[in-house]
Amino acid sequence: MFSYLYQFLDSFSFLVLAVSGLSIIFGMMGIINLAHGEFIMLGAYAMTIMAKASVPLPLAIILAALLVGLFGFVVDKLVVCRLYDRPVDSVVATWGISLLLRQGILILLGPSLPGLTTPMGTFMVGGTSYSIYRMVLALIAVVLLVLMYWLFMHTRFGLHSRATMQNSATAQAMGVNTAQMYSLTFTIGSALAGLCGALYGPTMTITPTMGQAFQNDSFVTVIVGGANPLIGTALSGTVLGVIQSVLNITMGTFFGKMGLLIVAIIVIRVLPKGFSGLVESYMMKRKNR
Amino acid sequence: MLKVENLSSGYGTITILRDVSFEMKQGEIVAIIGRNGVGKSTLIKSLIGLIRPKSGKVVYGDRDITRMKPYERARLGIGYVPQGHGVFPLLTVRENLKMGEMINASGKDKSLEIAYDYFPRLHERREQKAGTLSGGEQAMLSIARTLIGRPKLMMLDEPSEGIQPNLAFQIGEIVKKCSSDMGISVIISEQHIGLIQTCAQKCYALDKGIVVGELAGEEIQDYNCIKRYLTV
Ligand SMILES: Nc1ncnc2c1ncn2[C@@H]1O[C@H](COP(=O)(O)OP(=O)(O)OP(=O)(O)O)[C@@H](O)[C@H]1O
Ligand SMILES: [Mg+2]
Repeated sequence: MFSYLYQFLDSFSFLVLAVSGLSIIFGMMGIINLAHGEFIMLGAYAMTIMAKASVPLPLAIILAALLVGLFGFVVDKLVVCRLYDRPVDSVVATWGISLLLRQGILILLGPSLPGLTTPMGTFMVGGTSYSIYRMVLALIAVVLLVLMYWLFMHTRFGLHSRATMQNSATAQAMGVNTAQMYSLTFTIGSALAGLCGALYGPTMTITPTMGQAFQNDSFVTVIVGGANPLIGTALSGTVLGVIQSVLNITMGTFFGKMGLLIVAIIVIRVLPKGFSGLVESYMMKRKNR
Repeated sequence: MLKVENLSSGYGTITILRDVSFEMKQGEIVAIIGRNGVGKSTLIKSLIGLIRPKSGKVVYGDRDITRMKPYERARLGIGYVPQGHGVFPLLTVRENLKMGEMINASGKDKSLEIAYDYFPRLHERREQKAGTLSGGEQAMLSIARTLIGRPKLMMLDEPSEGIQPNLAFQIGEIVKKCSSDMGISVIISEQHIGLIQTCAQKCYALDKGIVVGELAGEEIQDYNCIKRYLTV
Protein backbone atom coordinates (compact mmCIF):
# COMPACT_ATOMS: atom_id res chain seq x y z
CA MET A 1 0.00 0.00 0.00
CA PHE A 2 2.74 2.41 0.96
CA SER A 3 4.39 1.78 -2.37
CA TYR A 4 1.36 3.30 -4.11
CA LEU A 5 1.51 6.38 -1.93
CA TYR A 6 5.25 6.64 -2.52
CA GLN A 7 4.82 6.26 -6.27
CA PHE A 8 2.05 8.82 -6.27
CA LEU A 9 4.07 11.35 -4.30
CA ASP A 10 7.01 10.76 -6.60
CA SER A 11 4.98 11.30 -9.79
CA PHE A 12 3.08 14.19 -8.27
CA SER A 13 6.19 16.06 -7.20
CA PHE A 14 7.92 15.41 -10.51
CA LEU A 15 4.96 16.75 -12.47
CA VAL A 16 4.38 19.75 -10.20
CA LEU A 17 8.02 20.78 -10.04
CA ALA A 18 8.54 20.23 -13.76
CA VAL A 19 5.44 22.11 -14.82
CA SER A 20 5.24 25.11 -12.49
CA GLY A 21 7.65 27.31 -14.45
CA LEU A 22 6.10 26.41 -17.77
CA SER A 23 2.54 26.94 -16.59
CA ILE A 24 3.20 30.32 -15.00
CA ILE A 25 4.69 31.58 -18.26
CA PHE A 26 1.97 30.00 -20.39
CA GLY A 27 -0.92 31.06 -18.16
CA MET A 28 0.23 34.60 -17.75
CA MET A 29 1.79 35.40 -21.11
CA GLY A 30 0.24 32.85 -23.46
CA ILE A 31 3.78 31.96 -24.47
CA ILE A 32 4.77 28.32 -24.85
CA ASN A 33 8.38 28.15 -23.78
CA LEU A 34 9.92 25.35 -25.84
CA ALA A 35 13.22 25.96 -24.08
CA HIS A 36 11.62 24.99 -20.76
CA GLY A 37 13.36 21.60 -20.70
CA GLU A 38 16.69 23.25 -21.43
CA PHE A 39 16.18 25.73 -18.60
CA ILE A 40 15.67 22.72 -16.35
CA MET A 41 18.83 21.18 -17.76
CA LEU A 42 20.75 24.39 -17.05
CA GLY A 43 19.54 24.27 -13.46
CA ALA A 44 20.85 20.73 -13.12
CA TYR A 45 24.23 21.69 -14.59
CA ALA A 46 24.58 24.79 -12.44
CA MET A 47 23.72 22.84 -9.30
CA THR A 48 26.05 19.95 -10.14
CA ILE A 49 29.01 22.18 -10.96
CA MET A 50 28.56 24.16 -7.75
CA ALA A 51 28.04 21.04 -5.63
CA LYS A 52 31.24 19.55 -7.08
CA ALA A 53 33.02 22.78 -6.11
CA SER A 54 31.88 21.82 -2.59
CA VAL A 55 29.09 24.34 -2.26
CA PRO A 56 26.60 22.77 0.21
CA LEU A 57 23.77 21.09 -1.70
CA PRO A 58 20.82 23.21 -0.47
CA LEU A 59 22.71 26.39 -1.25
CA ALA A 60 23.78 25.06 -4.66
CA ILE A 61 20.13 24.30 -5.45
CA ILE A 62 18.95 27.76 -4.50
CA LEU A 63 21.80 29.48 -6.34
CA ALA A 64 21.14 27.37 -9.44
CA ALA A 65 17.48 28.42 -9.42
CA LEU A 66 18.48 32.07 -9.08
CA LEU A 67 21.04 31.79 -11.87
CA VAL A 68 18.55 30.25 -14.28
CA GLY A 69 16.08 32.98 -13.26
CA LEU A 70 18.67 35.58 -14.16
CA PHE A 71 19.33 33.78 -17.42
CA GLY A 72 15.58 33.82 -18.15
CA PHE A 73 15.49 37.54 -17.42
CA VAL A 74 18.21 38.13 -20.02
CA VAL A 75 16.53 35.86 -22.58
CA ASP A 76 13.31 37.79 -22.05
CA LYS A 77 14.99 41.15 -22.50
CA LEU A 78 16.88 40.03 -25.61
CA VAL A 79 14.29 37.90 -27.38
CA VAL A 80 10.97 37.08 -25.78
CA CYS A 81 9.94 40.65 -24.96
CA ARG A 82 9.78 41.41 -28.67
CA LEU A 83 7.26 38.59 -29.13
CA TYR A 84 4.73 39.22 -26.36
CA ASP A 85 1.87 39.62 -28.80
CA ARG A 86 3.14 37.02 -31.28
CA PRO A 87 2.69 33.66 -29.55
CA VAL A 88 3.44 31.60 -32.65
CA ASP A 89 6.72 33.38 -33.30
CA SER A 90 7.64 32.95 -29.66
CA VAL A 91 7.32 29.17 -30.08
CA VAL A 92 9.82 29.26 -32.92
CA ALA A 93 12.15 31.59 -31.04
CA THR A 94 12.16 29.54 -27.84
CA TRP A 95 12.66 26.38 -29.90
CA GLY A 96 15.75 28.03 -31.38
CA ILE A 97 16.94 28.92 -27.90
CA SER A 98 16.48 25.31 -26.81
CA LEU A 99 18.65 24.01 -29.69
CA LEU A 100 21.27 26.60 -28.94
CA LEU A 101 21.41 25.65 -25.29
CA ARG A 102 21.53 21.91 -25.90
CA GLN A 103 24.31 22.18 -28.50
CA GLY A 104 26.12 24.89 -26.58
CA ILE A 105 26.31 22.80 -23.43
CA LEU A 106 27.35 19.76 -25.48
CA ILE A 107 30.25 21.70 -26.98
CA LEU A 108 31.27 23.36 -23.74
CA LEU A 109 30.86 20.53 -21.27
CA GLY A 110 30.72 17.36 -23.32
CA PRO A 111 28.08 14.64 -23.62
CA SER A 112 27.61 14.12 -19.89
CA LEU A 113 28.68 15.26 -16.47
CA PRO A 114 29.43 12.71 -13.76
CA GLY A 115 26.38 13.02 -11.53
CA LEU A 116 26.10 13.25 -7.78
CA THR A 117 24.74 10.44 -5.67
CA THR A 118 21.21 10.87 -4.39
CA PRO A 119 21.59 12.40 -0.94
CA MET A 120 19.94 11.40 2.35
CA GLY A 121 19.85 7.64 1.92
CA THR A 122 16.77 5.43 2.30
CA PHE A 123 14.13 4.31 4.74
CA MET A 124 12.38 0.94 5.05
CA VAL A 125 8.67 0.20 4.98
CA GLY A 126 7.49 -3.42 4.98
CA GLY A 127 10.78 -4.76 3.76
CA THR A 128 11.17 -2.33 0.83
CA SER A 129 13.54 0.60 0.90
CA TYR A 130 12.50 4.04 -0.30
CA SER A 131 14.49 7.19 -0.98
CA ILE A 132 14.20 9.89 1.66
CA TYR A 133 15.26 12.55 -0.83
CA ARG A 134 12.25 11.83 -3.04
CA MET A 135 9.93 12.37 -0.11
CA VAL A 136 11.67 15.68 0.55
CA LEU A 137 11.00 16.58 -3.08
CA ALA A 138 7.31 15.82 -2.55
CA LEU A 139 7.30 18.11 0.45
CA ILE A 140 9.00 20.84 -1.58
CA ALA A 141 6.38 20.42 -4.33
CA VAL A 142 3.59 20.95 -1.79
CA VAL A 143 5.38 23.97 -0.29
CA LEU A 144 5.81 25.36 -3.80
CA LEU A 145 2.09 25.04 -4.50
CA VAL A 146 1.28 26.81 -1.23
CA LEU A 147 3.76 29.57 -2.05
CA MET A 148 2.29 29.97 -5.52
CA TYR A 149 -1.17 30.16 -4.00
CA TRP A 150 -0.02 32.87 -1.64
CA LEU A 151 1.79 34.76 -4.40
CA PHE A 152 -1.17 34.74 -6.77
CA MET A 153 -4.03 35.14 -4.30
CA HIS A 154 -2.63 37.33 -1.56
CA THR A 155 -0.11 39.74 -3.01
CA ARG A 156 -0.36 42.84 -5.15
CA PHE A 157 1.78 41.15 -7.78
CA GLY A 158 -0.67 38.26 -7.80
CA LEU A 159 -3.70 40.50 -8.21
CA HIS A 160 -2.08 42.42 -11.01
CA SER A 161 -0.92 39.28 -12.75
CA ARG A 162 -4.36 37.68 -12.58
CA ALA A 163 -5.88 40.86 -13.99
CA THR A 164 -3.27 40.96 -16.75
CA MET A 165 -4.01 37.32 -17.57
CA GLN A 166 -7.70 38.05 -17.97
CA ASN A 167 -7.49 41.29 -19.88
CA SER A 168 -4.11 42.86 -20.42
CA ALA A 169 -5.42 45.99 -22.19
CA THR A 170 -7.71 46.89 -19.31
CA ALA A 171 -5.02 46.05 -16.77
CA GLN A 172 -2.71 48.49 -18.54
CA ALA A 173 -5.35 51.16 -18.52
CA MET A 174 -5.67 50.57 -14.75
CA GLY A 175 -2.01 51.50 -14.36
CA VAL A 176 -0.36 48.08 -14.52
CA ASN A 177 2.97 48.07 -16.35
CA THR A 178 2.22 44.84 -18.17
CA ALA A 179 5.59 44.64 -19.92
CA GLN A 180 7.24 44.62 -16.52
CA MET A 181 4.78 42.00 -15.27
CA TYR A 182 5.65 39.78 -18.22
CA SER A 183 9.37 40.21 -17.69
CA LEU A 184 9.00 39.33 -14.01
CA THR A 185 6.79 36.35 -14.86
CA PHE A 186 9.30 35.00 -17.34
CA THR A 187 12.05 35.42 -14.77
CA ILE A 188 10.07 33.61 -12.06
CA GLY A 189 9.08 30.86 -14.49
CA SER A 190 12.70 30.38 -15.50
CA ALA A 191 13.85 30.29 -11.90
CA LEU A 192 11.26 27.59 -11.19
CA ALA A 193 12.55 25.58 -14.13
CA GLY A 194 16.05 25.99 -12.77
CA LEU A 195 14.86 24.90 -9.34
CA CYS A 196 13.33 21.76 -10.81
CA GLY A 197 16.57 20.85 -12.58
CA ALA A 198 18.63 21.57 -9.50
CA LEU A 199 16.36 19.44 -7.31
CA TYR A 200 16.35 16.46 -9.66
CA GLY A 201 20.01 16.85 -10.62
CA PRO A 202 21.29 14.59 -7.85
CA THR A 203 18.92 11.79 -8.90
CA MET A 204 19.89 11.45 -12.54
CA THR A 205 22.61 11.55 -15.15
CA ILE A 206 23.44 15.09 -16.20
CA THR A 207 23.37 15.34 -20.00
CA PRO A 208 22.57 18.16 -22.42
CA THR A 209 19.38 16.37 -23.46
CA MET A 210 18.12 15.55 -19.99
CA GLY A 211 15.56 18.36 -20.24
CA GLN A 212 13.45 16.40 -22.69
CA ALA A 213 12.10 14.01 -20.05
CA PHE A 214 10.87 16.99 -18.05
CA GLN A 215 9.65 18.82 -21.13
CA ASN A 216 7.34 15.98 -22.23
CA ASP A 217 5.73 15.47 -18.85
CA SER A 218 5.36 19.17 -18.19
CA PHE A 219 3.66 19.78 -21.53
CA VAL A 220 1.18 17.02 -20.82
CA THR A 221 0.53 18.54 -17.40
CA VAL A 222 -0.04 22.01 -18.84
CA ILE A 223 -2.42 20.67 -21.48
CA VAL A 224 -4.42 18.80 -18.89
CA GLY A 225 -4.25 21.65 -16.40
CA GLY A 226 -5.08 24.54 -18.70
CA ALA A 227 -4.07 28.16 -18.48
CA ASN A 228 -4.53 28.79 -14.77
CA PRO A 229 -1.11 28.16 -13.23
CA LEU A 230 -2.53 27.51 -9.79
CA ILE A 231 -5.61 25.40 -10.41
CA GLY A 232 -4.05 23.72 -13.42
CA THR A 233 -0.80 22.72 -11.74
CA ALA A 234 -2.37 21.44 -8.55
CA LEU A 235 -5.24 19.53 -10.17
CA SER A 236 -3.45 18.03 -13.11
CA GLY A 237 -0.41 17.21 -10.94
CA THR A 238 -2.70 15.26 -8.64
CA VAL A 239 -4.82 13.51 -11.25
CA LEU A 240 -1.92 12.62 -13.53
CA GLY A 241 0.13 11.64 -10.50
CA VAL A 242 -2.52 9.09 -9.50
CA ILE A 243 -2.85 7.72 -13.02
CA GLN A 244 0.87 7.50 -13.61
CA SER A 245 1.69 5.89 -10.28
CA VAL A 246 -1.00 3.23 -10.66
CA LEU A 247 0.14 2.43 -14.19
CA ASN A 248 3.81 2.46 -13.17
CA ILE A 249 3.21 -0.11 -10.46
CA THR A 250 0.77 -2.35 -12.29
CA MET A 251 2.12 -2.21 -15.84
CA GLY A 252 5.55 -0.57 -15.72
CA THR A 253 6.91 2.89 -16.44
CA PHE A 254 6.43 2.63 -20.19
CA PHE A 255 2.68 2.40 -19.69
CA GLY A 256 2.93 5.14 -17.10
CA LYS A 257 4.24 7.50 -19.77
CA MET A 258 1.75 6.26 -22.36
CA GLY A 259 -1.06 6.75 -19.87
CA LEU A 260 -0.17 10.43 -19.49
CA LEU A 261 -0.24 10.99 -23.23
CA ILE A 262 -3.57 9.21 -23.60
CA VAL A 263 -5.08 11.24 -20.79
CA ALA A 264 -3.78 14.41 -22.45
CA ILE A 265 -5.44 13.46 -25.73
CA ILE A 266 -8.73 12.66 -24.03
CA VAL A 267 -8.65 15.90 -22.03
CA ILE A 268 -8.03 18.00 -25.15
CA ARG A 269 -11.13 16.40 -26.67
CA VAL A 270 -13.42 16.73 -23.69
CA LEU A 271 -12.06 19.82 -21.95
CA PRO A 272 -10.22 21.97 -24.46
CA LYS A 273 -9.37 24.45 -21.71
CA GLY A 274 -8.20 21.78 -19.31
CA PHE A 275 -9.07 21.63 -15.64
CA SER A 276 -8.71 25.42 -15.34
CA GLY A 277 -11.49 25.93 -17.84
CA LEU A 278 -13.70 23.49 -15.95
CA VAL A 279 -13.13 25.14 -12.58
CA GLU A 280 -13.47 28.65 -13.99
CA SER A 281 -16.78 27.92 -15.68
CA TYR A 282 -17.97 26.34 -12.44
CA MET A 283 -17.10 29.54 -10.56
CA MET A 284 -19.04 31.55 -13.11
CA LYS A 285 -22.11 29.37 -12.69
CA ARG A 286 -22.37 29.62 -8.94
CA LYS A 287 -24.59 32.67 -9.17
CA ASN A 288 -27.47 30.57 -10.49
CA ARG A 289 -27.78 28.51 -7.34
CA MET B 1 -7.20 70.25 -18.97
CA LEU B 2 -7.11 68.23 -22.18
CA LYS B 3 -6.29 69.41 -25.64
CA VAL B 4 -6.43 67.17 -28.68
CA GLU B 5 -4.79 68.57 -31.81
CA ASN B 6 -5.24 67.08 -35.29
CA LEU B 7 -5.28 63.56 -33.97
CA SER B 8 -5.24 60.82 -36.60
CA SER B 9 -5.32 57.23 -35.57
CA GLY B 10 -6.43 53.76 -36.62
CA TYR B 11 -5.49 50.10 -36.77
CA GLY B 12 -2.48 48.90 -38.73
CA THR B 13 -2.53 50.69 -42.02
CA ILE B 14 -6.21 51.68 -41.77
CA THR B 15 -6.83 55.23 -40.64
CA ILE B 16 -10.08 55.69 -38.73
CA LEU B 17 -9.82 59.08 -37.03
CA ARG B 18 -8.76 62.00 -39.15
CA ASP B 19 -7.66 65.35 -37.78
CA VAL B 20 -9.75 65.26 -34.66
CA SER B 21 -9.29 68.38 -32.54
CA PHE B 22 -11.08 69.45 -29.40
CA GLU B 23 -10.42 70.95 -26.06
CA MET B 24 -11.97 70.65 -22.64
CA LYS B 25 -11.75 72.51 -19.37
CA GLN B 26 -11.25 71.21 -15.85
CA GLY B 27 -14.48 69.77 -14.43
CA GLU B 28 -16.26 69.75 -17.75
CA ILE B 29 -18.38 66.84 -19.00
CA VAL B 30 -17.90 66.29 -22.71
CA ALA B 31 -19.80 63.72 -24.74
CA ILE B 32 -18.52 62.11 -27.92
CA ILE B 33 -21.57 61.11 -29.90
CA GLY B 34 -22.12 59.25 -33.13
CA ARG B 35 -23.49 56.08 -34.63
CA ASN B 36 -21.96 52.61 -34.47
CA GLY B 37 -18.55 52.43 -36.06
CA VAL B 38 -17.85 56.16 -36.41
CA GLY B 39 -14.73 55.94 -34.26
CA LYS B 40 -15.82 56.80 -30.71
CA SER B 41 -13.94 53.90 -29.14
CA THR B 42 -10.98 54.51 -31.40
CA LEU B 43 -10.81 58.06 -30.07
CA ILE B 44 -11.06 57.02 -26.44
CA LYS B 45 -8.49 54.25 -26.89
CA SER B 46 -6.14 56.74 -28.50
CA LEU B 47 -6.57 59.03 -25.52
CA ILE B 48 -5.78 56.32 -22.97
CA GLY B 49 -2.95 55.06 -25.17
CA LEU B 50 -4.18 51.59 -26.13
CA ILE B 51 -3.81 52.75 -29.74
CA ARG B 52 -0.76 54.71 -30.85
CA PRO B 53 -1.84 57.84 -32.72
CA LYS B 54 -0.50 58.14 -36.28
CA SER B 55 -0.15 61.89 -36.02
CA GLY B 56 -1.33 64.81 -33.97
CA LYS B 57 -0.97 65.62 -30.33
CA VAL B 58 -2.67 64.98 -27.01
CA VAL B 59 -1.85 67.46 -24.27
CA TYR B 60 -3.03 66.71 -20.73
CA GLY B 61 -2.59 69.55 -18.27
CA ASP B 62 0.70 70.92 -19.53
CA ARG B 63 2.18 67.59 -20.58
CA ASP B 64 2.34 66.11 -24.03
CA ILE B 65 1.12 62.55 -23.47
CA THR B 66 0.83 61.51 -27.13
CA ARG B 67 3.59 58.88 -26.89
CA MET B 68 3.00 57.72 -23.33
CA LYS B 69 2.04 54.15 -22.47
CA PRO B 70 -1.46 53.49 -21.09
CA TYR B 71 -0.19 52.70 -17.60
CA GLU B 72 1.75 55.96 -17.49
CA ARG B 73 -1.32 57.92 -18.50
CA ALA B 74 -3.40 56.08 -15.94
CA ARG B 75 -0.94 56.99 -13.22
CA LEU B 76 -1.24 60.64 -14.23
CA GLY B 77 -4.87 60.42 -13.20
CA ILE B 78 -6.68 59.38 -16.36
CA GLY B 79 -9.36 56.80 -15.63
CA TYR B 80 -10.86 54.58 -18.30
CA VAL B 81 -14.16 52.71 -18.31
CA PRO B 82 -13.95 50.39 -21.35
CA GLN B 83 -16.81 49.63 -23.69
CA GLY B 84 -18.60 46.48 -22.53
CA HIS B 85 -17.46 47.41 -18.98
CA GLY B 86 -14.19 45.44 -19.09
CA VAL B 87 -14.47 43.97 -15.61
CA PHE B 88 -12.05 41.16 -14.79
CA PRO B 89 -14.54 38.29 -14.80
CA LEU B 90 -12.64 35.89 -12.56
CA LEU B 91 -11.69 38.47 -9.96
CA THR B 92 -14.12 39.23 -7.18
CA VAL B 93 -15.87 42.59 -7.03
CA ARG B 94 -13.50 43.67 -4.27
CA GLU B 95 -10.43 42.60 -6.23
CA ASN B 96 -11.70 44.47 -9.27
CA LEU B 97 -12.06 47.58 -7.15
CA LYS B 98 -8.54 47.15 -5.78
CA MET B 99 -7.28 47.21 -9.36
CA GLY B 100 -8.50 50.80 -9.53
CA GLU B 101 -6.17 51.92 -6.75
CA MET B 102 -3.12 52.11 -9.00
CA ILE B 103 -4.18 55.39 -10.55
CA ASN B 104 -4.16 56.84 -7.10
CA ALA B 105 -0.41 57.12 -6.89
CA SER B 106 -0.58 60.18 -4.68
CA GLY B 107 -1.94 58.02 -1.86
CA LYS B 108 -5.06 60.08 -1.32
CA ASP B 109 -8.00 58.39 0.39
CA LYS B 110 -7.43 54.87 -0.83
CA SER B 111 -10.39 53.15 0.74
CA LEU B 112 -12.93 51.26 -1.28
CA GLU B 113 -15.64 53.07 0.72
CA ILE B 114 -16.12 55.72 -1.90
CA ALA B 115 -17.15 53.02 -4.37
CA TYR B 116 -19.52 51.43 -1.89
CA ASP B 117 -21.04 54.85 -1.08
CA TYR B 118 -21.95 55.46 -4.69
CA PHE B 119 -22.90 51.85 -5.35
CA PRO B 120 -24.15 50.10 -2.18
CA ARG B 121 -25.05 47.12 -4.32
CA LEU B 122 -21.37 46.40 -4.90
CA HIS B 123 -20.77 46.11 -1.17
CA GLU B 124 -23.36 43.34 -0.92
CA ARG B 125 -21.66 41.51 -3.74
CA ARG B 126 -18.06 42.23 -2.87
CA GLU B 127 -16.95 38.59 -2.65
CA GLN B 128 -18.78 37.53 -5.81
CA LYS B 129 -16.87 36.95 -9.05
CA ALA B 130 -17.37 39.97 -11.30
CA GLY B 131 -18.24 37.75 -14.26
CA THR B 132 -21.38 36.62 -12.46
CA LEU B 133 -22.75 40.17 -12.08
CA SER B 134 -25.56 41.43 -14.29
CA GLY B 135 -24.73 43.84 -17.10
CA GLY B 136 -25.92 46.81 -15.06
CA GLU B 137 -23.92 45.75 -12.04
CA GLN B 138 -20.84 45.32 -14.21
CA ALA B 139 -21.33 48.85 -15.54
CA MET B 140 -21.45 50.13 -11.96
CA LEU B 141 -18.41 48.09 -10.98
CA SER B 142 -16.45 49.42 -13.91
CA ILE B 143 -17.28 53.02 -13.02
CA ALA B 144 -16.66 52.42 -9.32
CA ARG B 145 -13.29 50.81 -10.08
CA THR B 146 -12.23 53.95 -11.90
CA LEU B 147 -13.55 56.27 -9.18
CA ILE B 148 -11.44 54.49 -6.53
CA GLY B 149 -8.38 55.91 -8.24
CA ARG B 150 -9.72 59.45 -7.78
CA PRO B 151 -8.97 60.28 -11.41
CA LYS B 152 -8.69 63.85 -12.61
CA LEU B 153 -10.10 62.85 -15.97
CA MET B 154 -12.51 59.97 -16.40
CA MET B 155 -13.25 58.51 -19.83
CA LEU B 156 -16.28 56.28 -20.27
CA ASP B 157 -16.84 54.34 -23.46
CA GLU B 158 -20.57 53.70 -24.00
CA PRO B 159 -21.36 52.85 -20.39
CA SER B 160 -25.04 52.40 -21.26
CA GLU B 161 -24.41 49.61 -23.71
CA GLY B 162 -26.45 46.53 -22.92
CA ILE B 163 -28.26 47.85 -19.86
CA GLN B 164 -31.84 48.93 -19.15
CA PRO B 165 -32.78 52.46 -20.24
CA ASN B 166 -33.63 53.70 -16.74
CA LEU B 167 -30.26 52.53 -15.49
CA ALA B 168 -28.67 54.53 -18.30
CA PHE B 169 -30.25 57.70 -16.90
CA GLN B 170 -28.97 56.72 -13.48
CA ILE B 171 -25.45 56.44 -14.87
CA GLY B 172 -25.84 59.94 -16.28
CA GLU B 173 -26.82 61.20 -12.83
CA ILE B 174 -23.90 59.42 -11.19
CA VAL B 175 -21.41 60.82 -13.68
CA LYS B 176 -22.77 64.29 -13.05
CA LYS B 177 -22.60 63.85 -9.29
CA CYS B 178 -19.02 62.52 -9.37
CA SER B 179 -17.95 65.34 -11.56
CA SER B 180 -19.40 68.02 -9.31
CA ASP B 181 -18.47 66.32 -6.00
CA MET B 182 -14.89 65.57 -6.92
CA GLY B 183 -14.20 68.04 -9.70
CA ILE B 184 -13.53 65.23 -12.16
CA SER B 185 -13.46 66.08 -15.85
CA VAL B 186 -15.38 63.55 -17.94
CA ILE B 187 -15.31 62.35 -21.52
CA ILE B 188 -18.17 60.04 -22.27
CA SER B 189 -18.82 58.28 -25.55
CA GLU B 190 -22.53 57.60 -25.97
CA GLN B 191 -25.48 57.00 -28.24
CA HIS B 192 -28.12 57.07 -25.51
CA ILE B 193 -29.73 60.48 -25.88
CA GLY B 194 -31.24 60.55 -22.38
CA LEU B 195 -27.89 59.85 -20.78
CA ILE B 196 -26.19 62.50 -22.87
CA GLN B 197 -28.84 65.08 -22.01
CA THR B 198 -28.63 64.22 -18.31
CA CYS B 199 -24.97 65.04 -17.93
CA ALA B 200 -23.20 66.47 -20.97
CA GLN B 201 -22.19 70.12 -21.08
CA LYS B 202 -20.65 69.87 -24.50
CA CYS B 203 -20.95 67.34 -27.32
CA TYR B 204 -18.71 66.53 -30.20
CA ALA B 205 -20.36 64.54 -32.96
CA LEU B 206 -18.24 62.10 -34.94
CA ASP B 207 -18.94 60.68 -38.35
CA LYS B 208 -16.50 58.48 -40.26
CA GLY B 209 -13.73 59.50 -37.92
CA ILE B 210 -14.22 63.24 -38.40
CA VAL B 211 -15.71 65.77 -36.00
CA VAL B 212 -18.82 66.90 -37.83
CA GLY B 213 -20.55 68.92 -35.18
CA GLU B 214 -20.27 70.58 -31.82
CA LEU B 215 -23.21 71.13 -29.49
CA ALA B 216 -23.43 73.04 -26.25
CA GLY B 217 -26.04 74.03 -23.66
CA GLU B 218 -29.51 74.38 -25.16
CA GLU B 219 -28.61 72.51 -28.32
CA ILE B 220 -27.93 69.37 -26.28
CA GLN B 221 -31.38 69.52 -24.72
CA ASP B 222 -32.93 69.87 -28.18
CA TYR B 223 -33.86 66.28 -28.99
CA ASN B 224 -33.99 66.71 -32.75
CA CYS B 225 -30.69 68.48 -32.82
CA ILE B 226 -28.89 65.55 -31.18
CA LYS B 227 -30.91 62.90 -32.94
CA ARG B 228 -29.54 64.06 -36.28
CA TYR B 229 -26.08 62.76 -35.40
CA LEU B 230 -27.32 59.44 -34.09
CA THR B 231 -29.68 58.19 -36.78
CA VAL B 232 -28.64 56.75 -40.06
N1 LIG C 1 -9.02 46.24 -34.02
C1 LIG C 1 -9.50 46.79 -35.15
N2 LIG C 1 -8.90 46.54 -36.33
C2 LIG C 1 -9.37 47.10 -37.48
N3 LIG C 1 -10.43 47.91 -37.55
C3 LIG C 1 -11.06 48.20 -36.40
C4 LIG C 1 -10.64 47.65 -35.14
N4 LIG C 1 -11.47 48.10 -34.19
C5 LIG C 1 -12.36 48.89 -34.80
N5 LIG C 1 -12.13 48.96 -36.13
C6 LIG C 1 -12.90 49.75 -37.11
O1 LIG C 1 -12.80 51.10 -36.76
C7 LIG C 1 -14.02 51.76 -36.99
C8 LIG C 1 -14.41 52.54 -35.76
O2 LIG C 1 -14.60 51.64 -34.71
P1 LIG C 1 -14.95 52.11 -33.25
O3 LIG C 1 -14.92 50.91 -32.38
O4 LIG C 1 -14.08 53.24 -32.87
O5 LIG C 1 -16.44 52.62 -33.42
P2 LIG C 1 -17.45 53.14 -32.33
O6 LIG C 1 -17.84 54.51 -32.72
O7 LIG C 1 -16.89 52.96 -30.99
O8 LIG C 1 -18.67 52.15 -32.55
P3 LIG C 1 -19.66 51.49 -31.47
O9 LIG C 1 -20.70 52.49 -31.15
O10 LIG C 1 -20.25 50.35 -32.21
O11 LIG C 1 -18.84 51.08 -30.32
C9 LIG C 1 -15.01 50.69 -37.39
O12 LIG C 1 -15.21 50.78 -38.77
C10 LIG C 1 -14.36 49.40 -37.04
O13 LIG C 1 -14.70 48.40 -37.95
MG1 LIG D 1 -17.28 51.83 -29.41
